[in-house]
Amino acid sequence: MIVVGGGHAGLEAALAAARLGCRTALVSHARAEIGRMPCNPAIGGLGKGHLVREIDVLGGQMGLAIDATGIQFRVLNRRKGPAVQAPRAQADKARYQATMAAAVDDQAGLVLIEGDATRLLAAAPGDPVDGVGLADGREVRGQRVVLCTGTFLRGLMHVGERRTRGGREGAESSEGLSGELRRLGLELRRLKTGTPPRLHADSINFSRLEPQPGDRDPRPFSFRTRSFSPPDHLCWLAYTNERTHALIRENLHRSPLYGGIIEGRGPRYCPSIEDKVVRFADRSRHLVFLEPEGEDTPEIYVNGISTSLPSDVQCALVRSIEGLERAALVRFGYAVEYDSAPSWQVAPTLECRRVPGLFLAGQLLGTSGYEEAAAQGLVAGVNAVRSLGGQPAWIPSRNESYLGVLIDDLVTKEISEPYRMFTSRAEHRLHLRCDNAETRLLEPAAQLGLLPAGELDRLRARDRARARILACLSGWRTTDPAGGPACTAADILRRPDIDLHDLAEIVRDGAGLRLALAGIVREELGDGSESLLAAGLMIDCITSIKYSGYINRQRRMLESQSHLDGLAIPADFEYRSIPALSNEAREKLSRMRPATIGQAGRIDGVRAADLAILTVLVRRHRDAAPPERGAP
Amino acid sequence: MAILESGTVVAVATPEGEGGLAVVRLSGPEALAVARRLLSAGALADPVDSHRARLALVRWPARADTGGPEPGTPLDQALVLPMLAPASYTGEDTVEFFCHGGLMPARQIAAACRAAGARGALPGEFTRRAFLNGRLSLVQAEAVAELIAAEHAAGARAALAQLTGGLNRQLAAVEGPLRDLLARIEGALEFSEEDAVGPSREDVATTLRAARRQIDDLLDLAPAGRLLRDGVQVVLVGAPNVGKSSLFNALLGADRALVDPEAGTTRDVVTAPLELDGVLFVLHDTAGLRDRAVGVEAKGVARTRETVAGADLVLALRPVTDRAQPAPALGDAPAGCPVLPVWTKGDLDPAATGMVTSSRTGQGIEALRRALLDHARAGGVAAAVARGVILNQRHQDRLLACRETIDQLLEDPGAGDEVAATLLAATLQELGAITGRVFTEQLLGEIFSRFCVGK
Ligand SMILES: Cc1cc2nc3c(=O)[nH]c(=O)nc-3n(C[C@H](O)[C@H](O)[C@H](O)COP(=O)(O)OP(=O)(O)OC[C@H]3O[C@@H](n4cnc5c(N)ncnc54)[C@H](O)[C@@H]3O)c2cc1C
Ligand SMILES: Nc1nc2c(ncn2[C@@H]2O[C@H](COP(=O)(O)OP(=O)(O)OP(=O)(O)O)[C@@H](O)[C@H]2O)c(=O)[nH]1
Ligand SMILES: [Mg+2]
Repeated sequence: MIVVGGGHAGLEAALAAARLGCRTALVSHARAEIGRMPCNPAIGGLGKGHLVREIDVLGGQMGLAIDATGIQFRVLNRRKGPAVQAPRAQADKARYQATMAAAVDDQAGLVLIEGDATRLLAAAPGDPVDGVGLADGREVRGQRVVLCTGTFLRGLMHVGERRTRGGREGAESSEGLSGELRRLGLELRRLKTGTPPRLHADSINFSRLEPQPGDRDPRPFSFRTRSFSPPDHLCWLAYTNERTHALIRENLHRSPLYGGIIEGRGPRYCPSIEDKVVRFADRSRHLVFLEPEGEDTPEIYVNGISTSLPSDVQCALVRSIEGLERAALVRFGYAVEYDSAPSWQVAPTLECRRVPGLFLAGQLLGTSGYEEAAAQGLVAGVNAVRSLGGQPAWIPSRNESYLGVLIDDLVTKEISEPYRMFTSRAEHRLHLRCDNAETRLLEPAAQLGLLPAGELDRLRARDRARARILACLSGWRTTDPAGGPACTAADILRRPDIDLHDLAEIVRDGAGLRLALAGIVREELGDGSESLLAAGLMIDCITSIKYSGYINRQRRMLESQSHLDGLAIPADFEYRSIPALSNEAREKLSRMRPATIGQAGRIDGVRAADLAILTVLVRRHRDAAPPERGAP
Repeated sequence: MAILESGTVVAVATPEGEGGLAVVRLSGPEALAVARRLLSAGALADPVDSHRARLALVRWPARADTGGPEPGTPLDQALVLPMLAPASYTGEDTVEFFCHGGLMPARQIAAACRAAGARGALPGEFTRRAFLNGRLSLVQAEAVAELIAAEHAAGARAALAQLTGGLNRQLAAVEGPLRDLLARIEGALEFSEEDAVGPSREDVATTLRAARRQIDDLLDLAPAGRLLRDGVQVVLVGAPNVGKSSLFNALLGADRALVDPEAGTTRDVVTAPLELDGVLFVLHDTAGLRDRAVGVEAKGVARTRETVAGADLVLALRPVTDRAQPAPALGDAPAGCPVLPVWTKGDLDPAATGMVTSSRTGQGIEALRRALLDHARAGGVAAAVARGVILNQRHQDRLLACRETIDQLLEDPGAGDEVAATLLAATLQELGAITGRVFTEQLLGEIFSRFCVGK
């Protein structure tokens, strides 16, 4: 198997494939570029942190890598409900890359080939892809190819009026593959994204800025991280002001975005500072975060002022900010435009519908973000290997994971801007939490087989402990301190603002309950180094109890919808012959080929009436189909 | 459930028990061929002029597959209306026969079609075909079902208004502010790091309460919906011989119930529909209530009590000749069911006052009819018609579920913003399922199960 691109998607794809026993080549431009973070020096956040937790439980690398190289850890939304809390960490970029490169080197069965892939090989036109050709003429053969080329395809960088070819700062673009993809019948579209300037730490007046430390009790991303005492470097808050905004407005005509030079679509939720000033004209200031790029570099990332204005304007606007009056810009912000392949062209396995054997993942498929890329890399890598071995595809579902939400959204939504994960995209959000990733994904993790056996055993032990803790809490009879009827410890936990500490104070024989719970944890997990896993487990248990009423209620409400996800549409279903469907629905359904009625319903432009008709016809198709004659 | 069948099907398409014109609908790929077998050559000659009715003599087919009348027996002189696909109700080739002679000839024509190769239509099959051929949206299909159920003007008007979006509009008004609220909560959850501030608890509560009031308003129309669909159930009760059956007949303007000087004439409940000003009433004449009834009479009294239990309005009858008679005991009337005292045999005491009627002279009958209508309007029928909303059980269930969720959010201090947002999103999903913007498979079953034969 061949993975092209050693970014966040490519790394997970290649590592997963090799771990599953497949001889894998990772073709990437330069070893030094592997696992690079071209933008934010951070991993995690809302939705994204959820993805990393899931990737970790399934046996991916990202969680371990950030735990080993993070320099500040924080749980976001601490004061809000557990479903919308997520870990985020500032990364030491250089060390993160080194850790990832080491993981590649150490992985048996995985070889790194440095080079620029320019061609996709096939025995004959229309045949499955069976290799890639490099710019220097070398050819690499393999039965599956996973493309994870990020922002590199025909990448074009903009700083003001200045345009340069390149995948990102300091890196050549990749010019060959776009033509190859088009030749194979794929549609490509221009997208764009941008990054802010970097400042030299010594030029910043930190005394004028508001410091933002990490959590005092940092929590790791990975359940496999045993001992955890990361450094805690400060980030800083600053604010733009009316002067900054006036400067931007005066120079808007020099922004390639507003000058109409950039044709690609950028993300709405990650607007450039130009966008913010134009769209939120009534706001007198915007928040800016200063984040260190690592321990051994003076570079500071300026989160919040992503821009492609010319360098003189960038300088002036940064210096208009209090505390940054003398700031030295070590890198300018820029925007990059690139080719992406609209994701309706892939199946939920991330294999191209039109090109068997070719898988796509990451920014190339229209997403944005390291975590989103890594999640797809894992799914593509796993499914590429499974398809080689004739195993059934693994398709995560929406009610089990954010991975499922991501994949389902990719294959059902017409994505017009780079796709980023949000918790509000998950209708089962109360269930899809960071604290219970181990619970939710134990089964798939066992099925995929990426985790070392010992780690899987720990997950199983954790699961047993969980069941026993829940049983213990809901069987612990006690009197109601508020004077209500007799109840259980679980009933009391369900009340707002009651945590485990309060519980032990309130219930009958609280000390006994503590002992019983500790006993369960010790028996199942052992003590000492296991305390991280155990701490996470208790949060999972408490939250599950607190949320159970809501989750059940919401499940009931969504039941009819989940049922639709069980109604499969035959792969050869012919939409064009159904005149009753609206034109739009017919066109989109034949293009996107949803796997279930539920998926069909999530496609924009497919109305309820279309679905009803489809349901009836799919039933008839199924009832009329001859009995299975076995796989061809 | 075998939802889809192929072939050419036929059925009488007017409701059973309706007088006047009866329609036989024949639909499917072979419709024209089947019809030609019942008509003289040339009556439906190619090329068929679609949507032009012609008068023709319909006969039993010459080469019928099975028994029946002699081949060629004339059945009825009917208007024959061919409609070519896709411009027909079902979207298929269709032929409709309008029979003057009412139901009997209609049934014979349908039988003749079957003898000529068509198959009897299954319940709801025409509508299902229409639906599958894209002739009806889901909401329309449901409104058609309402229309079929509402055989009277007011119900039909409300169902028609529904067809053009009455309910949708009302629901949109509920949804709009909720959607807005949801967006604000979500924004604050996702971007709390970046200063995003969500709505205050007060804001949330105000919006939720407003939505709840709107849902209540809609739910208030639910009883009216039932009244419109099933009719206002009016039960006449009173002691034996007070003139119940006579008043029943007088209200109907037709002799439907037996009248006799003998007390205890009516032994069982007699029911008849009455349409006033487009509103459907169902009148029930009952056995006289008396304490010491035995045998058949006792059974009659028991049936009276059952009927009273299902009443929307009870007319408690007493004769003017015996003003001292105690009002009938109505222990079984549903709670809140209004009871209208009515005096009978008014002609026997010209000095009587109150709601005085005489079945003999017609005195007070018109006034009583108006009182019935006033009652129906008080029951919200007029509002439901005006707002174009008929709620059926499915609508009600979903609205109740939404209200329950809103109540839960209003009452539960432990529910954080993420819970509120998640449940709100699910609620909006539920609301969408009412109008068919959100599809659920049950919806399909629910809707199709409500079509009556052959529609
Ligand atoms: C300027 C910029 C701004 C960004 N801003 C944001 C942001 O604000 N928020 C956010 O979430 N994300 C942002 N990102 C996106 C984030 O970097 C990506 O989403 C993420 O890195 C995508 O991972 P990937 O694996 O798909 O691709 P990448 O990380 O881009 O990795 C691609 C890899 O493939 C290699 N490669 C490409 N083509 C070839 C080829 N033909 N042959 C061999 N090797 C090849 C490259 O060398 C590189 O190593 C930004 C990216 C850039 C460049
Ligand atoms: N004068 C007069 N007689 C009436 C009037 N209405 C009914 N009667 C007479 O009263 C007698 C009883 O009438 P019904 O209508 O059969 O009374 P009922 O209440 O149905 O009696 P049961 O069914 O036996 O309980 C008959 O002889 C009627 O002719 C009226 O308005 N005026
Ligand atoms: Mg009588």
